Amino acid sequence: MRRLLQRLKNHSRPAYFSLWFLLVFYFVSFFADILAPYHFDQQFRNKPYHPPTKIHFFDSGGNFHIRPFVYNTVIDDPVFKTYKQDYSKIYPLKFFVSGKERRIFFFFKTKRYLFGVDQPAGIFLFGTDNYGRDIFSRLLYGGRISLSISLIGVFISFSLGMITGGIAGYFGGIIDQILMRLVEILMVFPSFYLMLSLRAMFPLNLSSIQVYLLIVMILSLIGWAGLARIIRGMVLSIKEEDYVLAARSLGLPHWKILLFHIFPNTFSYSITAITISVPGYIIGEAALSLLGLGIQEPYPSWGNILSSTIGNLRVLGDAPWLLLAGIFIFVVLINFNLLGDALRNVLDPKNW
Amino acid sequence: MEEILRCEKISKVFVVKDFLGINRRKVTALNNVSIRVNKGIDLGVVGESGSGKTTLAKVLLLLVRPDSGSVYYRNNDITGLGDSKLVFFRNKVRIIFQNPYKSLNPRSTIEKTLREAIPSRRVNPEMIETALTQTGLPSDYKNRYPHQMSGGERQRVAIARAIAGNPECVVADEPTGNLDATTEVNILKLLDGLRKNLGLTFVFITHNLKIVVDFCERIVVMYQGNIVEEGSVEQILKSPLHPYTKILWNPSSITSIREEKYKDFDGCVFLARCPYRKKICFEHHPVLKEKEKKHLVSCFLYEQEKMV
Ligand SMILES: Nc1ncnc2c1ncn2[C@@H]1O[C@H](COP(=O)(O)OP(=O)(O)OP(=O)(O)O)[C@@H](O)[C@H]1O
Ligand code: SF4
Ligand SMILES: [Mg+2]
Repeated sequence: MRRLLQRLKNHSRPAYFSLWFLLVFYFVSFFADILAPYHFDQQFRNKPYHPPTKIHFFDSGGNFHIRPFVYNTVIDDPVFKTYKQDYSKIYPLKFFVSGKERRIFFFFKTKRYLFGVDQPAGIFLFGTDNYGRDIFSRLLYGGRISLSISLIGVFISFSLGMITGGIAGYFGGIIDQILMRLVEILMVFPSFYLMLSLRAMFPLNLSSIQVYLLIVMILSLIGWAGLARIIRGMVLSIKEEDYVLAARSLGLPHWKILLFHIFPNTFSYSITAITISVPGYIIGEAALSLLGLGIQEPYPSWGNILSSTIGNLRVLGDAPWLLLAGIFIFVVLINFNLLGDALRNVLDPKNW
Repeated sequence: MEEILRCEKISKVFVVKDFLGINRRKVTALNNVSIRVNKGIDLGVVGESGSGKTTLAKVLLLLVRPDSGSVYYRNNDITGLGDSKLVFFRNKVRIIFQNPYKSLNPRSTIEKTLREAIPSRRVNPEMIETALTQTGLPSDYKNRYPHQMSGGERQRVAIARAIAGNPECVVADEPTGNLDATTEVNILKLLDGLRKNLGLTFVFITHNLKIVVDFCERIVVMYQGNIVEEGSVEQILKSPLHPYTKILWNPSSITSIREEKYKDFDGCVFLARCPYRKKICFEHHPVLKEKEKKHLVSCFLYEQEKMV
């Protein structure tokens, strides 16, 4: 593993940076409960479409404060939602503030968050939405959902694809025929319609955890077929390689040959393929959310944060910070692609 | 004489498709091949590139299933057995592949490769080190990957893997085919030593006649998937019968150019290159027959009575 990291670093600095960037992203969103200043459904009814809060070091009198602070804001124009700052009182930025209890992963309770300011002022790094909810906090919480959907989804389709493709390619014959026809049935449907029709098979009013699991299932069910198909092809050729015949000539059981001799030699393809496919899951969830079939409000996902802005032209002009969810998706996508491209070379023993 | 391995009337035809799968071409890799491996008598298989030697090796180990014919291990027909029922056989007969650059899993360390080769349930580090030192490799090589080793070193690992199961017979498919001359000598010395120490019987496949003469007692000569001659080293060396064997001993004496106009005839496989061809050679396959004591040849030159 360490050697692999070193190789990645030598091979491509940008990809190495992408890896760390993504790790930080995942880390941050998994610890959203500590890092986010507000809970995802906390509303500031008097501050809808609030632009990103300005953070100050100098007060109105020109005095310097070592601790950054914000001013409270009041609505200036209720129609166009413009705000003006109230200079009468400063609200310093506080670290490790305490507040309502939140649960990290349902287990650890925490009452302290990384930062915040006293009420009634608010610190909205990326502004607020139509209900006055902090976009920054929602993006962190939403990242937890979107990124974990993609990880679990990729894990499931990777396992399904490897197992099905591996068995079909290795054993061949009637097993191969049956499995591949199944895969083809899945593949003839355009994936978007397949996704919709699968979603349509289930009722709309599901609990949020049910919707979450359902989306993971749907997305991974769509993703595995293509991988299985390609892995089968690779296994077909790898199983004729001398080193696999050598393993067979030692009398190793089939599962050992598949697991230790065949699968590892598909990695330079399969790991790359799944790395590059991760953003597809995020986008898939976003597409479902866009149609109102994804994660339901008030729970945030990058998809439904984005979808609340699309179709509302005024928002695009007046509250562009709402599009940050799209930028997050985009950034994650680029980094996964960079990483995937580099992994292809790094994982290939020819380049060791 | 104690027979270890025998195959009877093995045929194997590969169907080669072109890129679009439209043109299919049949390649007869083995045609009616029978050989017998007796304990302590090393058997050499000689033939030029493409004569089906590797295919024969793979069929003998049932890594490739023959289209027809049977393989016997100690007189039991094992042709139809699945891999899971062949475990006992796999430890007794092992193979060294032709190309050490392909026969080691690029993603396994040497230790892992050897660990799998030792049949005992508990493999301790000493066993792996013994296997390495036995083939003249330093024991700290176990942490290496194949790409960190030279071809000769890799072939030593492949040899260590083959003998780790304590087999009675090793099929060596051109074990020095991809190595330079000095490495070749070293590997041959190693194999010779192992043979004496471990009481191995070799099936030694090669295109290099000098090696078989030094190494083996019986020789099988193959041409395009057929056995054309079989006999003791003495017989093949002193009195080669088949025209092809004569070419092998003295490549300059007879043309090795295949004459295209003969390629469509369904007669003797050697027809296109044979300077002695006769009328009957165009229409019939010669069969492998005993000419002298234990010296077999398949050529119409030695079938007087049949000639018209
Ligand atoms: N898997 C395969 N698919 C199609 N054709 C094959 C396959 N394996 C071997 N052949 C063909 O069978 C014939 C015999 O091949 P084989 O590898 O046994 O030759 P060989 O005597 O070992 O040659 P060399 O000395 O070059 O190793 C060749 O014409 C080859 O093209
Ligand atoms: S059978 Fe005829 S063609 Fe074949 S080797 Fe003998 S003489 Fe030559
Ligand atoms: Mg060969």
